[in-house]
Order: sequence, then structure tokens, then C-alpha cells
Amino acid sequence: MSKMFYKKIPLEELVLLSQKSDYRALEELIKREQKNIFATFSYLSKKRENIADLTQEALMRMAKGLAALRNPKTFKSWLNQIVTNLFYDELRKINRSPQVISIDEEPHEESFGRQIPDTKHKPAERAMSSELDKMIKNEIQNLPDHFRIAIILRELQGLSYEEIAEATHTTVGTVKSRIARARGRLQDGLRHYI
Amino acid sequence: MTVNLTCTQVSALLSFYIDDKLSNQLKQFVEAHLEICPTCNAKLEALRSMIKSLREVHEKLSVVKSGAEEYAQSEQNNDFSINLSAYIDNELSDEENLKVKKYIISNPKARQDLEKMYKLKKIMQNSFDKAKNNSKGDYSKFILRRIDMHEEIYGPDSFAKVVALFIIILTVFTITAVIIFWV
Ligand SMILES: [Zn+2]
Repeated sequence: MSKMFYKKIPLEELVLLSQKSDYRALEELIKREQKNIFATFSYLSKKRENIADLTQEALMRMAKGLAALRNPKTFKSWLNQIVTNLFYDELRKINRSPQVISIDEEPHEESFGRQIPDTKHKPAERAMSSELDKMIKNEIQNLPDHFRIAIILRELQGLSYEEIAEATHTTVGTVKSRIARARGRLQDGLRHYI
Repeated sequence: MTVNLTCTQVSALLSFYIDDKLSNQLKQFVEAHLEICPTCNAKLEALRSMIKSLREVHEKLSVVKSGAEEYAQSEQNNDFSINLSAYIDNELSDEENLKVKKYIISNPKARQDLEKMYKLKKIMQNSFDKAKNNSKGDYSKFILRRIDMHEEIYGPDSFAKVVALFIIILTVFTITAVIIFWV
């Protein structure tokens, strides 16, 4: 069967085939998910040098653990559980090193602060948009850890509050409030663009 | 010349006296009476302390009241912005949904907040799409290779092969040893 064949298979079927040790299906599944996972870690991880390793590890866990996934329909939230666990693992590692990271809801003040765009000189639209991208990433990375994972699972991964609650081991009510507060902070930080 | 006021007259004037609302002349008459009348003096003191404590209670009450109002208001706002956020995620119950909708219709500030939230959603999603397209690394070959190696080393088939090979070698070795011993 050709590569083109695998490219056209719907996700759920691809998962099923991969579970039956169809390596070409697994290859296609990895190709389909890797960009998404990489981009997600680029917002989750504060250390740029870790993004590739985290992505690789997530894909590895996905490939190895796929056989144990009972319901292929839950693949997306299952995969995000892997991503979330890796995110928390990384936080714990950073925690163990001397640098202190807050696990509490309130943020540590960032010493470099917020960059306020210069509104006097309007840059070209393209430069503007890449500047905005940098700002967005920066603002998201500066969110308290629990806020960050919640808003990313919601906005970038499209998980429901219930799925997020399960992935982050908390209640739906807490997820609801974390997402609202994350939005409040992001709106505040990006107020010149919104 | 002095007009001597009666106790009843002074009593009636005492609260005006405390508030300093009497004419100078009337004030003098009241003071003249107070100097010679312990009963009215006592009444004056009682009245003064009563007014004082009333004022204190009133002040305390108003502090508590305004604090409570402020708190309730901020709580309400906070609850509302949480519900607004859940509203755009489609995570509210029908009843809550309706409440938020009604509030948005009647409140321009809420509409503005809603618009901002949608805008944030949009720029985040645009940014994420760009980040996805910018990631060029391909991990598939690497992962498949590693899984392959994993299977070869630890897979049940390969384990059986290793055991069989070991037994064969052992047998050959034993036979050789026996032959050498006999020869
Ligand atoms: Zn008197």
C-alpha cells in the first residue's frame, strides 16, 4: 500500500492500524502529530533547548503506549495526557534544581517585565505580526504553570474542560477559573493588540 | 440682663446647643442655667455621650456596608468574567448560558469583554498555526528505529531465539567435551 493511501486514512483508523503493528500507519501517525506536539511544547516549555527532546519523548511514549489505548476515539485526549505529564515532569526537574518555580496559583514577578510596543512608529505588517507572535509566546510562558497548561489544552488542543480536569488532576470548576484567569492576564499583557 | 430659663426650656434647647445652632444670646442663657443646675448638666453629658456613640456606630456600619458592597460587586464581576470565559468555550449549562446572554445584551461593557476574548482566541490560534507550520523536524524515522531496536532486544520472539541458541551452544559444548574426554 502506498504512502498516499496512509495519508488519506482518518485519524481513528490510523490509530487502529498502528495498534496492530502496522509500521507505515504508525509512521504516518507520528508525522501527523509531531508538528502539533512540537508547537505545543514551544508554548509550554520555558526552555527552548528542551522542546525537541520533549517532542521526541512524547512521540516515543505515544508509539510505545498505543497498544494499551483501549478506545481509539479518546486518542487526542490520551496523547494530551502524555504531553501534560511530560510538562509536569519538566517542572519537577526544574524545581529540583536551585532555581525556584512557583507551583502555586500566583505568579512570580518576571524581572524583565512586559515589553510595551512602540506605537509611534508603525512597523510593516509582517514585522508587526512576528512581533505579536513573540509577545504571545512570551505572555503565555509567563503565566503561572497551572494557568498555562489549562489555556493551552483549551485553545491550542481544543480539549473540553472535563478532559483538561482529568489531564491535570483537578476539578472542572478549577479548570474553568484557571482558564478565565489566564485569559484575563493574556488580555492585559496583549492589550495593545486586542 | 439675663433671662432665667426653666429646666424644661433648657432641655428642649440642649441638642441645638450641642450642635452649636443657638444664637449667641440664647447660648449665654443656656450656659448660665447649666452653671447652676446639676440636673440639666447631667442631661447635657448624657446627651453628648449618646450622640457620640451613635456616631461611632453609624461610622462602623457604613464602613462595613461599603466594604461589603464593594466585595459583592467585585465577586460578581469575577464570577461574571469566569462565566463569560466558559461561555465562549461552550462549557455552561443551558441556564447559565441564558443568564450570560441576557447580561451581554443589556450590558455594553460585557459585550466589549466578550469581543476582546474572541480576539484573543483568534490571535492565539493564528500564532499556534504559525508555530505548527514552522516546525520542520521529522521524528518518525528515529522513533520507528528505536521501537524496532526495542522489539529486537526485548521482543518475545527474539528472547526465544536467544534461549534456543544458548541451549544449542551448550549442547555442542557438552558433546565436544564428552568426546574429548572419551578420546
Ligand atoms: Zn435645669
